[in-house]
Amino acid sequence: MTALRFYLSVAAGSALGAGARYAITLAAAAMIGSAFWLATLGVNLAGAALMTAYSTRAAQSPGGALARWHAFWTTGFCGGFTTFSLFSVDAVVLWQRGQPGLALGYVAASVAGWLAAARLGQRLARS
Amino acid sequence: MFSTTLLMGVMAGGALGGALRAFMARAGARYWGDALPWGTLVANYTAALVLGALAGGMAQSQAAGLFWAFAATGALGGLSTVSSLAQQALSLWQESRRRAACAYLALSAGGGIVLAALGYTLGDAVALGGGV
Repeated sequence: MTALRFYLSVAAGSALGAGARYAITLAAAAMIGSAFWLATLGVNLAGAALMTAYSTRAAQSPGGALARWHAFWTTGFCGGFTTFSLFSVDAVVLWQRGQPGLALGYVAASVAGWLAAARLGQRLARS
Repeated sequence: MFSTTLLMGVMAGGALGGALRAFMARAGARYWGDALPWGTLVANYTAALVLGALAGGMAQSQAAGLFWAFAATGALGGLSTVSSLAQQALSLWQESRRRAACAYLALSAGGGIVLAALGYTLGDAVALGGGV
């Protein structure tokens, strides 16, 4: 894949991922109100699992359609869908609001959860 | 409220942020080696710092506008990534580079939060000074 095609695939996938995250966050805000961090956590867990599941499946058939769309769906869609910046700011805002316990729990659950979700995605794709 | 204009703003920002992240990931691997995924780490750090500054410096009402949709939700959300971070940490772990995997997760989360807090404080100070 040429560099230009790679970056265009990533940009298009990331646009779609960011748009999906925006729609989900809006819907979640309407449903769960002030627990804004739950939406961030959910999006990040789903994106991490999809990333490893897709990569694992794509690696099983190197010349296949999944492999051709790899940049679009992984670095692009999953990368744009998940957000590390909002995770960091969520933690700071929770702390600022006088909820340090919730902030620490959120951070611990996120980091452990990301790794577990990535492992789960890989497992599911192998089975 | 859902708005097509804001969605377009988010998507445009997401495209830019994602392409920049991909560029940084490649450049990081080329120039700084693969001891850790440096490019992704720097992309995440940058996005956390800038989003912290925007969150600290902007009032709640401003956060509903097109600028926020494009820059914060789109560009900074697209520049930062958890999926690559999780995948890279898992790969390091499975390559038996477990100390690197733990260091990468700790550096990412710890550094990102410190930078977001720093940005938040700076943004808040500038806003109080009438700069924003």
